Amino acid sequence: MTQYLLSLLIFIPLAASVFILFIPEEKTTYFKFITLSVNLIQLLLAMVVYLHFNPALTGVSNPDSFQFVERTDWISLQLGSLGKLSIDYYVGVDGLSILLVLLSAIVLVIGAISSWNIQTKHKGYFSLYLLLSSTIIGCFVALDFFLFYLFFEFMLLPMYFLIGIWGGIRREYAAIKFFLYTLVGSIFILIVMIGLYISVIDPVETAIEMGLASERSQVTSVLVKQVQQGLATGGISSTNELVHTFDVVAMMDAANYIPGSFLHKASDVLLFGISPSLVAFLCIFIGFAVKLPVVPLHTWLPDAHVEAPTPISVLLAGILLKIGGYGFIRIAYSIFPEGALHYAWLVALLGVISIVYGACNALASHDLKRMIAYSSVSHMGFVLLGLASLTAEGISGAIFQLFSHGILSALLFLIVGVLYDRTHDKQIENYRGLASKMPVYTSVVIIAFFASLGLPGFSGFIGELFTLIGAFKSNYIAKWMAIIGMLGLVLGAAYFLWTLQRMFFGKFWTQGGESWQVQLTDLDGREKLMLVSLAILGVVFGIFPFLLFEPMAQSVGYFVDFVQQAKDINFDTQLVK
Amino acid sequence: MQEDFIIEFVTWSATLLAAIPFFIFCILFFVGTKLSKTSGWLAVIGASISFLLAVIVFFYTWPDKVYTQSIHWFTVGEYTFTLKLLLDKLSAAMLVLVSFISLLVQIYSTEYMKGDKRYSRYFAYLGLFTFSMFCIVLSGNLLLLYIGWELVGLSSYLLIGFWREKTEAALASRNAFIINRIGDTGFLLGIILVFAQFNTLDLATLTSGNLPVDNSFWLTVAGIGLFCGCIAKSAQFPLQIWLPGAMAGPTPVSALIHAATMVAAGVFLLARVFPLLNTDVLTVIAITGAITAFMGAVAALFQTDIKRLLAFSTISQLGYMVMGMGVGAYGSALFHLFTHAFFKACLFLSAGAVIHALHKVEHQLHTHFDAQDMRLMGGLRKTMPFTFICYLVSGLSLAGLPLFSGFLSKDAILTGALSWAETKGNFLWYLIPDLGFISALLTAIYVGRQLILVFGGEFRLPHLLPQLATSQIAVKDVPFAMQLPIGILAILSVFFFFSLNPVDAAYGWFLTTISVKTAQAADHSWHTFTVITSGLLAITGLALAYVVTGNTRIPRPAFLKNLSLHNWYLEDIYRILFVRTGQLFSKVTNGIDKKLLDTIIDYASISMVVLAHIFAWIDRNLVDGLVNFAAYLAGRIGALTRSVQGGRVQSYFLYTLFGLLILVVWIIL
Repeated sequence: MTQYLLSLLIFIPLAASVFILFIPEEKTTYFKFITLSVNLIQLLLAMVVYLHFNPALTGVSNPDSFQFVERTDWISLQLGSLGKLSIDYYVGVDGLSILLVLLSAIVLVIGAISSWNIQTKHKGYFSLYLLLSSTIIGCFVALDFFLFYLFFEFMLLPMYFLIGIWGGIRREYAAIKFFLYTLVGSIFILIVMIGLYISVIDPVETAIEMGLASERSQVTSVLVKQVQQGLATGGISSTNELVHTFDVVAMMDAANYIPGSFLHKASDVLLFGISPSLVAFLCIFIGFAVKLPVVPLHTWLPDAHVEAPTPISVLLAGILLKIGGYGFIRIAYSIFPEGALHYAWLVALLGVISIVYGACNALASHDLKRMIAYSSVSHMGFVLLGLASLTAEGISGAIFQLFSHGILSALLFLIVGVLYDRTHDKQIENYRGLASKMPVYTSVVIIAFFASLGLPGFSGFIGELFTLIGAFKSNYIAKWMAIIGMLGLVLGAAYFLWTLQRMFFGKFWTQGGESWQVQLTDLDGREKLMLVSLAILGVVFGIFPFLLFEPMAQSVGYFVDFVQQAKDINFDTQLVK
Repeated sequence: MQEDFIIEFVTWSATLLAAIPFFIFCILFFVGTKLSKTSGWLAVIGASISFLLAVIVFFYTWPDKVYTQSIHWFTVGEYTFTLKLLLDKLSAAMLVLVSFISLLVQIYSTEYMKGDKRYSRYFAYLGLFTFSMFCIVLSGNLLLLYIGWELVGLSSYLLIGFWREKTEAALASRNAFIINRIGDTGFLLGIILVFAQFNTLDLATLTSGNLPVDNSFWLTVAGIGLFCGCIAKSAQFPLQIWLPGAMAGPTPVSALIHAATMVAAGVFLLARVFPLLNTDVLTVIAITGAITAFMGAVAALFQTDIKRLLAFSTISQLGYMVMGMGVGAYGSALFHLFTHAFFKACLFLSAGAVIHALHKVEHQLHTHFDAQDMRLMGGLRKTMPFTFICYLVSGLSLAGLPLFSGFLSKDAILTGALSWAETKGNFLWYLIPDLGFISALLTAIYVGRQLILVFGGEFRLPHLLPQLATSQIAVKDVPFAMQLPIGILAILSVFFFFSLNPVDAAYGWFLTTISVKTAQAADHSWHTFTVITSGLLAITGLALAYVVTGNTRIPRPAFLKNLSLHNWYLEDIYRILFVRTGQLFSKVTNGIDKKLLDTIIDYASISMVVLAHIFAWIDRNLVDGLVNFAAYLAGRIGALTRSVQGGRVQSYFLYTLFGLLILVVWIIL
């Protein structure tokens, strides 16, 4: 029954996105309700996946322990002496991705509700929104690099239009900037993807190709070992029989690399003086670093946020940034663990820089939305710090932080949206003493701000705490880096509370005078629904963190051990050779 | 069987008494506006039940029982985090203290806050505070303690900024939270380092004495980190600047949070993690405490605001407690925590009574004056006799006059400090207890000055407001709901509650039990000396205050006065040192973002566009030119050949003939 869940998650919104195109433009409520109900179905399905998820199975580099797996041949080409090209429709979840699927479904529903007051070109908007709903989930469940890349790029496209058409005044600038940045990032990923494709074979398909079995299910692990041994010793005579693959899981097994190929772990080719697999790690890192974003590749983010319409900001901060973090874990760290170990200090350093730099910029921002965008940069720095630690605490903390930030940043951007909807102004200096005019709104803002600055009892605290514990326990990070990272906690309190004091307390005053005073009404029902449900989620995951830690625990433990194994590859001796 | 039942009963009672204020918070937060007046009474009833339970728990625990209860919370990596309750003599005593003062303050507040727009919200926040405080007291591991720690910070923030239309309240609450956050971050650092070192956060394990606590670098850092939590929360040097500002909150809040309980939590924390602190850390703690005690006392000397003076006095007294912890006088420091909680809460509530009474006058006269300015008071002993007596008793206790509780505890700390200095060898270490003695003198002076300014002499307000003298309006003592708490606290500020011997509490019920054997026992050779000296200092101080106050002929050093009024200029120094640099730094990073990174990106895209234009030109002129040329060439050739094929048969014949001719010629040749 649960066999096709992931496909349903991907294709229902895709079908709806096409379906919407056939409805006349003036039926705006249809669009809204279709989108909302599709996203609700997605949430329901994601809940089913979450509830049926078996936390005992590890996944990561073990293809047999992924769950809800669907795998069919998609594109197969016999390229003669170049071997066979194989692209699969291969999706599945493990402890590293399940939570992000759930998060996406939650945020997409909130985004759909928040899209209610889109004013123009409804058909295009909702069609693109549904396309985005499909590709986002696709990104988190794809286990074939080609498929992943396809979803990844198809996320970019609707995003570009959604910012560029429905955005603020400088929307075109922001959209182009966003597009170029991410595109440059994707090119780095593409290069490595092709490199990997050339170097890696799928032992199962190769066995079939060699005539050792007739279908996947017949290929035993013994047979796989046999093929891998044949590959290592040159026992496979004909290159025609090698099946090159984009299978991410196959790429994690060093035995699947063709000897002498470019990215083979023992390759003695040097690129820029370092091993090609380290270069590949850095390329992938840059690609996803743009997405996360990591300072200094972050400047698209404030602009994109400031110009994007509220629901798109919510998606951008709530989900799209997480794909950067997820990409690090699933692709960069899992496929190139040696790079993860070798560059742990660099990743940690960039994390610390992001934390402090983002926080300082938030402190200097005059635009509320820009302030929150920079706070995202700062919070994502903790993710990097946790990842770099390569400890179970750090990685768990990083994934937790991804989830928690998804919820809380969605909440924060909705808060800005409330104000922007009323006055079309989000300058911090233009408001004072809003508490007396909008008491409920103020309460929600206080909750959201305190949750974001990491007050215990909210999810943000747990994420930051464990990334920091990981950083202090790590053998790869200097303690001073972690200590500087802690500065982010103080700065976080500073910019959030300063904003709170300036905008909400004191005597009521606004730049807009009388007219704003009329416009500034307290929250309506729809806004309350969104804000309160997100705030409740923030509290729930803060008080019951095991809801998130439990599903990921086995996978994270396995992942940490898996990456640590790459310690045996010693680059210094390799360089001597 | 019987034993099991008692354990269950006690731990459940402790959990329940902590849960009650949280429920009250939830109820009042969400539906408080509908309850209006009754919300105050609901809170009082809840606090009474909590107090009763605390007393029961106390009697089951005191003097030497330990109860623990833990449930599995979540697991990360290999370590399982638990929600653990730890009930021993220390937490039992703190429970009673917190719930008792919380109850008294809530009774008092029902009257004090009457008519406030956000009456129920006020009690909601008090509930949140009480809950968080119980969380600190009862927690059996450092993580849970930290959670409570931050939550009291939140409730303190909400209550300082309770009157949020007031700009200074908003500023003060923000500063309080941020400064506390600095300390909390240090605290968290300490917790994480302890966790990394010992792989456990369980307090019972950590403080069992089985762990190797040496003077290694990271353990010292961890100890200092834990102490950072105390520095901020207990307003120690150099982070004490937030506490005077916190007086912008309602006065009962100042009594409960910023005098009796929350600010003392730092001392409680030190007591909890005491075995983890190595000698280096303890020395730092002792020095910090002594400096704070002295700086606070100096700052209190010239204050004119009735609450601000008390705030500096609190800082100074907290300095004593911290110093006590640092010198190893563990029990004495906790003893002072308790005595101070009673007399300082009494002082604040009495000050609140004075302010309340003057506010009434202000209200009735439809005028405005600063109801907290002591220069406008005077002679209130006649109009507010009850408040006066309570203020006098608790004030003398603060001043450290023999027969009052403050004398007993301060005495014990100073004795401990002296014997500590003796063991240190070098005479310079005697500076620590000496600072304590000097502060004791200063304390007596400022207490005497305040008593005289507020209650002595003639009422000075009519000089400012002549209409007050002519009208029927007069200052009246406060109602019973406010008198009751003040009275009870005043009675508890006298010696006999803690020890039947008025000059030595070492054998009183409290100090004998709370002291730990590992800490240095107070050396009795110093005890007589301390009793006599501090008694004399207190009397001298009060006498000095009596002579100097109101006597304009005695010059006051301007330098000292400015230093005192500006709290050692700490705020200005920090503003220049940290706030300015911080702002500058954030401007720089903002500049980097806008000017540097974005410019690079913009130029990169501009150069891309330029490149694209060049390519387009090449495309148009060269590539297209080539293509066009090829097309042109093809056209010409086509035209040429087309012209050949004119369609006339005769000419075809002619061409054929011509061709044939060439062929023939070629063959022949």
